[in-house]
Amino acid sequence: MSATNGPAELQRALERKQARRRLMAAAPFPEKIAVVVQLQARFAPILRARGQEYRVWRLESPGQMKREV
Amino acid sequence: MKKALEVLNQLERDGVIARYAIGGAVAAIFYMEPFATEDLDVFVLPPDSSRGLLTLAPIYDALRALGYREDRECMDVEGVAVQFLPAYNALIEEALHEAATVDYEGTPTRVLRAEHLAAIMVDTARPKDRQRFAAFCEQAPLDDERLQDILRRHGLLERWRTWTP
Repeated sequence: MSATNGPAELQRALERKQARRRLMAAAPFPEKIAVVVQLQARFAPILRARGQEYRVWRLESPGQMKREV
Repeated sequence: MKKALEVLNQLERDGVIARYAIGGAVAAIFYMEPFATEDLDVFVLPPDSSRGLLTLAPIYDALRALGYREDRECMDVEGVAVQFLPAYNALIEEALHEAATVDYEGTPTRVLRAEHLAAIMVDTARPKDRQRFAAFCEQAPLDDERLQDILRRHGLLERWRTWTP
């Protein structure tokens, strides 16, 4: 990143991040829960190494979640 | 997760709980990008809550009878750490009654509505609630008019105003 295009590049990076957040927010609930479990699995060894207990859920295969009107 | 929700539905059908709905981080995740959380917070109305009794003992007894075990402050229900929380104030009772019914892989369940979740964050007001509130307001489909009505009726409007720019 050069000194001249820095702010523009930063702005694009923030926009990409925001777009990813919107995409993830719109994902079906079971897919989001699958991500939660992936995060749990990543954090668990780190936290356990520090002596903290940390739970990792067991999960069935993700599917679709629909809102009832 | 689906199996855990089926167990919650069974508890409701059996009258162990009068009504339940998913709250806390997992309910927030329903409306926003996922983040790490250890527990599935489940708000419950016990069947005898009209008598002012908010004990969770019958829920724990029923789950133990089904072979589930405690895991610290939670119950391990089909591999999911479920924390049961009684509806301890009028805001949560209202949130429970108005929770959205959703379908999770063919299993019906309930999730607190976004406006009630936001109001509960303002009410609870822990540092993590305030942090989550900002992200939640950016991502969740909040009806501002509805949120302000809830906040006003539960005496939270002034605090909310100090949280919003």
